[in-house]
Amino acid sequence: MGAARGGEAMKRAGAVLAWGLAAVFLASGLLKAADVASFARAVASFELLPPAGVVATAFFLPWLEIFSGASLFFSKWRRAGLFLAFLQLIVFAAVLSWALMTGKAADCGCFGKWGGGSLEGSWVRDLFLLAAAGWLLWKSGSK
Amino acid sequence: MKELSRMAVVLLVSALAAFGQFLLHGDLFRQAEPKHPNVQWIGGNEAARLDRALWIDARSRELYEKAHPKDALRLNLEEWDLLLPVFLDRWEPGIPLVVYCAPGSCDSSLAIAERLAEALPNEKIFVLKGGWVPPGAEKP
Repeated sequence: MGAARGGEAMKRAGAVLAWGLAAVFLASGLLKAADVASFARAVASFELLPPAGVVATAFFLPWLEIFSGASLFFSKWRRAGLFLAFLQLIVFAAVLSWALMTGKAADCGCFGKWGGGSLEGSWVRDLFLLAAAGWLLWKSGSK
Repeated sequence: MKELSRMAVVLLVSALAAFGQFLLHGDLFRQAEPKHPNVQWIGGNEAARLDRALWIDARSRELYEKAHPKDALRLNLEEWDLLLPVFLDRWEPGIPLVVYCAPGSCDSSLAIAERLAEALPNEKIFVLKGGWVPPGAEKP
């Protein structure tokens, strides 16, 4: 009885976490897609990509976030969405770590022109989301 | 396997949406034609070969302070009155001016070049194609 209740609570916590992750990805993608030029400037400020790469990233990444986030709402698509979210969060963590080490870029551009807080704050948030996505991915694979 | 194909679908749909948005708004990143006859676009290699050019940085103060070409001056529309006297101190008639911005945001450099062209109608003013990439960053 207790184990069943515990399992139910974990299931609910997993669903809430998945929806939370989905909301963050959707908000982040929509805000970036709404102002591609601002996001392109944020990407360019990291000085990691050539101009064509900056433009391609500025157009593609917001939509990848939107569709990865949206897929988390659907049970059939959740695992695929989680994989993509997890991979994106790893890339974001690497880029933010690099920016923190080199001092390049003052704003991560995580939420388009609405910013995303300090680089340090964005890095901590990214690690938290990475841990959440990792846990959800592990949980969905162990069913 | 199913997960991989679903991931591929998400990637494909994202790429299609991005391409659609690029078709609608890609002009944000296309080079606008300069309005002033003395203003023209210039490639990085060609700009590097210019003899005694004065480079003008149209980016934010933050980016300028991180890195800029040797002897480049800051100039932007927001701080025009403040920065113009500094520019005029260094400016010499007949020396080509090269205005640059960061990759992906070249509207400001073109606007500055055109404003300079109005103030200095006899000078040749270039706008750097694709923006200035600091040394060490990947080049196209």
